[in-house]
Amino acid sequence: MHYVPHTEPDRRAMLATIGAPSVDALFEACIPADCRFAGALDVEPALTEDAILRELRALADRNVSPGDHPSFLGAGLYRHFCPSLVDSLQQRTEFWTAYTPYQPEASQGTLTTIFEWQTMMCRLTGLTVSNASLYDGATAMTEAVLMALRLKEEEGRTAVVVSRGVHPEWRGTLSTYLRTLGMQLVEVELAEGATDPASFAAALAAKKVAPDKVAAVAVQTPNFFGVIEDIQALSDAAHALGALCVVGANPVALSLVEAPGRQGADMVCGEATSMGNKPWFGGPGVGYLCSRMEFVRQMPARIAGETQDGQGRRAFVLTFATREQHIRRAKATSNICTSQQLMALRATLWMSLLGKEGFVELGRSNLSRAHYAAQRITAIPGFALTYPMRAFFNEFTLTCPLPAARVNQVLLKKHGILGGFDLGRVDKALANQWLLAVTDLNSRAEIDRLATALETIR
Amino acid sequence: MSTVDTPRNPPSAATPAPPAAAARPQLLSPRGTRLAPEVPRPFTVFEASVAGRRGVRPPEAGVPETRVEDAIPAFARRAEKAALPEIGEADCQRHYTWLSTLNFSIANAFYPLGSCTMKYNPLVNEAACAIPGLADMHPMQTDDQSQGLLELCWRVERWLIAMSGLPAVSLHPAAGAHGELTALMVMRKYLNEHGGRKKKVILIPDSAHGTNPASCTIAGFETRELKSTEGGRVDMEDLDRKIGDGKDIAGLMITNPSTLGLFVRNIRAICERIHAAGGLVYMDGANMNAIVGKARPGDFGVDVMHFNLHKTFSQPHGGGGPGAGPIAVSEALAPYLPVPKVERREVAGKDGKVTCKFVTVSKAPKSIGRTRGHMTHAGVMVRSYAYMRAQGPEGLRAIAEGAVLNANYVRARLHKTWRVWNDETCMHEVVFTGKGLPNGLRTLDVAKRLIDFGIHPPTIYFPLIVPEAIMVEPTETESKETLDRFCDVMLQIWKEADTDPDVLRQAPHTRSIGRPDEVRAVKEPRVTG
Repeated sequence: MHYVPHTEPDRRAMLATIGAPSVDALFEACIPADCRFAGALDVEPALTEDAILRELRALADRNVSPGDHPSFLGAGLYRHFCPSLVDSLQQRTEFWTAYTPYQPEASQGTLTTIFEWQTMMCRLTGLTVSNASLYDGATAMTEAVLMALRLKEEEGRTAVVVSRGVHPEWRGTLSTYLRTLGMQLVEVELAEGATDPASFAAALAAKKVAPDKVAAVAVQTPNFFGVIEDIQALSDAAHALGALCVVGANPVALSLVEAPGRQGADMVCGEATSMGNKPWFGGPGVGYLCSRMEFVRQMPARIAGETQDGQGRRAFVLTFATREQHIRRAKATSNICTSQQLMALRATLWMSLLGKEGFVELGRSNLSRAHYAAQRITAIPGFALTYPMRAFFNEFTLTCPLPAARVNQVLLKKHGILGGFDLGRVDKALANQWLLAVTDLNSRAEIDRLATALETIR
Repeated sequence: MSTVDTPRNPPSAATPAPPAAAARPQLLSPRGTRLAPEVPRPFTVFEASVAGRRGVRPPEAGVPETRVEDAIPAFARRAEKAALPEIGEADCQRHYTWLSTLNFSIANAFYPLGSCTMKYNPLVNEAACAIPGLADMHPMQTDDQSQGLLELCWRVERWLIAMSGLPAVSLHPAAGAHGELTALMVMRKYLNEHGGRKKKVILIPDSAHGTNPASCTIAGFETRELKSTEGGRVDMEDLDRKIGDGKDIAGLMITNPSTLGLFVRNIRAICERIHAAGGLVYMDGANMNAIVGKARPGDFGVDVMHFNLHKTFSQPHGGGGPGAGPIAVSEALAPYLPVPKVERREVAGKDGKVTCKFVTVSKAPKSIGRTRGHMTHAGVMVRSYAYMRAQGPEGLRAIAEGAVLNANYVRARLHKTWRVWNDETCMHEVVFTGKGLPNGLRTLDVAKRLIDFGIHPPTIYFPLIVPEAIMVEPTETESKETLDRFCDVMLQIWKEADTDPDVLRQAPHTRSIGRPDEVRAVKEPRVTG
């Protein structure tokens, strides 16, 4: 109630101007009696600021926060160093309380940062067009696949091949969308933790899908199990089917891993939350989607572009709006209206501040720490890399001498450590497999502490 | 009534004089007066980059180095470093601080953007959302580790259930349009399992948001447009015609209050006709701000709706996101809601004492499945939680009352000069038309001129059924003084349109750029630096 500024005299004066006896009368004039709700809303009574924060802190205290414990949990969302300036700049009210830059003259700040984001994402992925961001990695991959289906619509291609290495939640999302649209999804198993391009034919045959029905092949690198995929081989195999190649990529890994766009990927997408954003229990995060300029008219969601004003001054605008729902309505490329601008801004600030060299250094730090951790842990009897022949960046799958759930339990209870992801949660057959993420925020001391703790676990 | 000074200089804090761009030698006032010369400076961070310059240093590895060549095979090793910016920390701070000043925002300007509900964003929400025990939580943590957040989500669900008058809510959807799509998938699955496989058509009034038909297409439905009456209301005869024998009717998507700021008076009758045809009624909750605590969609026949938490419950819009679009559904549709969802379970301990526990349900037999990663935009839920908690039942009603009072006040002060498309008591927003402006001026000219006065333009050219539409939604957090100034400015602009049309045609005069050439942006596309 305290956010409404009106005093009683204000209200009286305004009602006099309107010519209404009371505010209630305004509602009576609008809403028929049989639609009005006269009861009391069943919500808790109002609190003042201090009490609200106290209540929320009490709720927070019932969580086990990764901020209070060494944490090795990743599975698609990683903790990275974030410069203090990111918070400070994002908190400029001109950024966080503005809305969609519909009026370019009043929104050059936001539009310029979108243009910068698009540029950075294209430079990371090796592609030529990026949108302003999507909800998250799962919907970004889904939108990339829908885009491929549109591009291949005329060829009558209605099936999609997806690797089992793609994050299970991304596959779940993709499956919900494709099922609704009556499109077919064919999953291909992994061979030694990696997607085998030679397995596509058999997987398609098993599902009785003709190769010339495939519109897209979707893979992820590093994949859900941490394995770096051979994108050139996979995109060649996708193209051999006449399909487009969609690659989900952890953008931070692209500091050291080749840009998928230079290895034949037609769309590169994923989750950029880890760049400068808090994990937020999974949202709001930020998804990204890049592609080739020749496909721009099938891209979903906002895109910023450069132009000039009447005096030849450089200006940024939202462009290719004829793809979008507010113009094309039922024929739009997507129903998406907004972006995850605030999160994309944070990622943009993060990339700007780390810069060309800092980004690679951060990548190396992840690589070195993860490999150090792998060496320390695999030296413990019973723990082994599940895919010893495969390369990894900052996350790897371990086979444990006992269920990963049990390992995690003991680590937290006895050692105050949040362990890795228990793969038994996505597949019971993988109950002894443990997905461990080690980033630039896991110090050597933390890694040593983890290894020492694991030595005692039986 | 006071007149408003015509802006000749960049006015007020809303539009601080930007340090100009390189391509911009001088800033002219509306009357052509040359202002102070400006220092050229780069526009994007890339032009501010200098090869070899360092930003912030990340943590050092602190462990024996693993060489990239040893760990990553040649087929996957990056050949060239990504050309990210090379800028010093101090220059970086200045660059983005300067960029921020080129924006209008709620914090520095009245922002009556119709349909977007640009209300004050309380800072306590931001403080809430920064609490480390909430912000640092990882979505893959176990339920045991996340009890606080799960309970918070469960409570938000309860409150939305109370406001919707519908028995079940899902916090899964990431935005309003995503809520539409998720709900349409729920409707599709329900119909398929209830003999409605052939029902493919969703009726949508021509005044609807573009997301409605677009969501239908992505969900595999066809859309059929309903004509509005002259006054922007649902044409019941057209509704009957478009329903026909009802065999193919899957449902109706309707925005209530409508995009004209009018409550759909015959909503009950409309719902009855759709139900009689075996269809479902979807309500776009974009305009819930007008009816929270005053009317509940579940009470007047709606089967499913979405909330825009970023509108009604004051999320910062962040330059375009994040939002969140929880959906509320009837008992019949509840089993089809997406997973994962949170449930409260009562557990009897060994001592017989009952405690409650919150669990994530990831599988449900009839559920459509998931439509995004993880469970919800938890950060948005925390802000909305803080916002609803600050209101209480009385405060929530006061939101709707303030919003409706403010919109009607603007209508009453302007309607003699600016034609209101349907001049009856409105709800939270009022739609004017720029048709009939003197000297052939258009709504766009008015919008651009408002910028000179430090006011963000209303939504324009929407709804599509109103020619030259100007859609004003003041929201409840604006004071009478702010509304008075807006009205004074609007009246002043009408006078200017009459006496000095060029000042409108060339507006805005006070920003870092004039009107950009949008055609050029498409014809000579440049989407990266």
